[in-house]
Amino acid sequence: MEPFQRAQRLRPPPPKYQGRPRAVEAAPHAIVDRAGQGGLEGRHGSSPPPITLGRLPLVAFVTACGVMIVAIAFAASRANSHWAEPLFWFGQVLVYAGPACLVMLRRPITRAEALGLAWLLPLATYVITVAYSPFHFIFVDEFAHVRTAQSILITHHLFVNNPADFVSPQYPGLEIVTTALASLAHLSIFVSGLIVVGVAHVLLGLGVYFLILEITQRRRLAALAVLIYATGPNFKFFDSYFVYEALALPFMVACLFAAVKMVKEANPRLALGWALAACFMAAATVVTHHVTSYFLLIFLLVLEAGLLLGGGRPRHLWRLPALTVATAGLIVLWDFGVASLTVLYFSYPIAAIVETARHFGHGVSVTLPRAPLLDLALEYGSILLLCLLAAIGISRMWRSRKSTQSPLILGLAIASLGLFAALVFRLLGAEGSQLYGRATSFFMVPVSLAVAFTLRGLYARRKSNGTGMRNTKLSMPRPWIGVAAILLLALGGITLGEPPYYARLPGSFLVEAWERSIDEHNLDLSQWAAAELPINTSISSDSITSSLLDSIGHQEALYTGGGLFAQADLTTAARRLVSKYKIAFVVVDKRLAEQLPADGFYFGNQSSPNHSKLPLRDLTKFNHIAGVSRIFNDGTISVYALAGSLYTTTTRGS
Amino acid sequence: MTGRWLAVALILSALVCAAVSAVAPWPALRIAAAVPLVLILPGSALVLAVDPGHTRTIGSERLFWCLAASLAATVAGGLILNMTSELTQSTWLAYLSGVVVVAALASMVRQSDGDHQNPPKRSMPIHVATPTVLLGVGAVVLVAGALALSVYSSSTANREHFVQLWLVPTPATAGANAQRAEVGVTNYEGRRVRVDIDIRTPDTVVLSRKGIVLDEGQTWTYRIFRPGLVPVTATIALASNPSRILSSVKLASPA
Repeated sequence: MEPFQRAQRLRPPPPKYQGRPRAVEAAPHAIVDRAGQGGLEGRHGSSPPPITLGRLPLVAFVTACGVMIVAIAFAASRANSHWAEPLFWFGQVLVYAGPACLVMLRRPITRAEALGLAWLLPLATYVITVAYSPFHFIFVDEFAHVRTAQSILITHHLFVNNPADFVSPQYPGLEIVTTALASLAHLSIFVSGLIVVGVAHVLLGLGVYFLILEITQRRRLAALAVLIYATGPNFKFFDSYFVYEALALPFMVACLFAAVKMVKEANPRLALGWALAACFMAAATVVTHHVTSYFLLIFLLVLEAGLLLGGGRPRHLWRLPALTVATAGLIVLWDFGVASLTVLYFSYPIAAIVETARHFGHGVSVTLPRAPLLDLALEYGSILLLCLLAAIGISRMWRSRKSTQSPLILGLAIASLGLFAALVFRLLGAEGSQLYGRATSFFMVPVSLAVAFTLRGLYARRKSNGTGMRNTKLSMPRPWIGVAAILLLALGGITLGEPPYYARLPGSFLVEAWERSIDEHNLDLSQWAAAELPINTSISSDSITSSLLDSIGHQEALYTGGGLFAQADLTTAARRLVSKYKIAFVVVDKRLAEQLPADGFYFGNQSSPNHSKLPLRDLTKFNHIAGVSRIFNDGTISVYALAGSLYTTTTRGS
Repeated sequence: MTGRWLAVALILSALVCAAVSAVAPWPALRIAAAVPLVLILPGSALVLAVDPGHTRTIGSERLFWCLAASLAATVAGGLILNMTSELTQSTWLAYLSGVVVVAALASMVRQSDGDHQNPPKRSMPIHVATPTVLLGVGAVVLVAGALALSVYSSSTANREHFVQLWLVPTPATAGANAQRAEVGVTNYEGRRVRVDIDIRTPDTVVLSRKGIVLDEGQTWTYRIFRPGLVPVTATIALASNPSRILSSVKLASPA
């Protein structure tokens, strides 16, 4: 007999309504007890329990207070107030403290409370992301997807070449939905993107909740897992950006959820329905984002491994392999049949990592700007804590492998080991660190369950008073340790994720500071370039401006390591550079001479970081070189045309 | 509402939304029609077709599947439309409303086979106390206030105010070798401005225009011809302070 069917027979009768709101944690073996999914109790003829929101309104209010305080911190930062940063941290603590206290301290937790957290956390974090920049996108990757969306709206077709991110048009899921909404509602790409990504973000939180609930049948554990997932570095900002994984992640989680349902379903007809749903979501994932589809495949494989190792030999063991093979087939078909540039796309970071690994420990390092001590402490503290909690959780999941849910839990335990694999990458310098950060969106799904397994040992429990009755005195301070751990993970996640510390709060322009380097000057310049300059003309500029010109400027920005800028006069090397790359225009932001680059580099493809400001004369030299025309000026940014100048003629030169 | 009536409601909703988003002159109405048509209705119809009796998914889980299926159906639609025709407003309307109608009809057919009866109706008492309502409303007000504050502070505190001036050769890549060019000004001062523009060669004044009025975001352009490839400069100043040059651009002579 397969474990799930055995469990079904062991299911206790549904509890009768006792006259007061009562939420009972599902018994360990109650596989099909849909506690937390609501409504099924009614089919057994018992009186339906009343829907009680419990402490959810209070938690929502506290979380909303946190959101409001973060918004006030953003406003203060825009006004250059020095108390913006502490206020920001206080607001973030409030955002997570309410849900953490609810899960750790309150017993029992009602269905509405658990499900409410799955709604609340994505909504709160998304509102914070919107509050950071309510008028335009702010992350350079977003603009590459904007260009893909623009191309779809202009040409009415997919797969139009995009020099800003050549692989983006080949995974057009996000842009398809966004442009569909933009076409029908006549909205801008920004507003359409906000709506689509917002819905996707809420779906992600709900999906993680339902997935964990389906696997464990414990609503409190599911709510805790969502909370842990929401503390991940990417959940707060990066997964809310207009980037393809923002939509692919909920598809992936939905596919896993359907796969779990399929595995557990005893009725073959219904199982087939779930299989089709899983395939549909897998296809949507494959079309939307490459890396997410690979992680989906890995997760399906480890779930399969969990089923094999879990001790049971379910009769329907073939279902998951069939889905895995179908997903693998879809990936191969898409990546080699349609998205033919994917291999090339991954060759760069893989080569960089291999190069870093080859030189690991051989003294090849650059001195980048150091994050503040608090950031470093939170960052390393949260990573250590996450590893510790995940390790304990994985061991507990392993020890509980004899339980009826073990096969799937075991699968997630194996998947949680990805955390430690990703940590190895993190040791490999900047590229590895970036890979680790990006990978957290995926491996935090199983890791959230592993950590929840650990933290559930710290739940508040009622103590027996020896008379058979239970009093309400909580066993302190263990639950508070759990709350503190969640808060440390949340704050550490903020330091690990986007935006980096120098751009964590919005405000005035900073040089090469990612989100803080996008302002009206370079955005309007890019739109001007799209309107006035020929498409895909070679342009040289600083790193962030180049990204914008590449994407919404519809130009081909060259990352030449500052070869045209870092001299006070015209040089032969600069002329060679112009000739080699056919550079037609140079874009100069005079603010580069006023600040050091926040991320260490003024220009793309620089071999070493800048430790001194660019001299103003290096930037203004174009005004004095014969034949160079200053064709654009807004008081801050100038565009120079090189055609007909000493950069392009061969008769003279320095 | 029984599954059959729900299917009818979905069909009618899809048709109304499609019609409204196609012809409604008011943006708010178009948005109110387009958002459900893209994000809710296709998935709702598909889920109803798969589970017409509401036996497998209910409540928030059903809503999750409705939204996820809507997004996935729209992605699939993009690929289908790209292969068969093109992605325009009319094709999207036809596809999305078509998905809803076909899926809803399928759910009606499946309901008629009798295997998918709705579960017996039951009332779910909801206990909502006054403090609960107050806290919920307070939370919504706080979040709305947070967004309003961000919109306000973002639009006032750090907004850059400037005027773009350009002198683009024709063709643009000709640079100093171009005989023709276009001078342009775009106002991003955040308010209506009056500007003075001067376009000169070393010997002559090509254009000197005072008090050009530009609204926020408005652009003014002027085409020039430069025989002999003489250098041309253009400057701009606010009419209220003509001595302070805001920006200047220059089309050089070839080196």
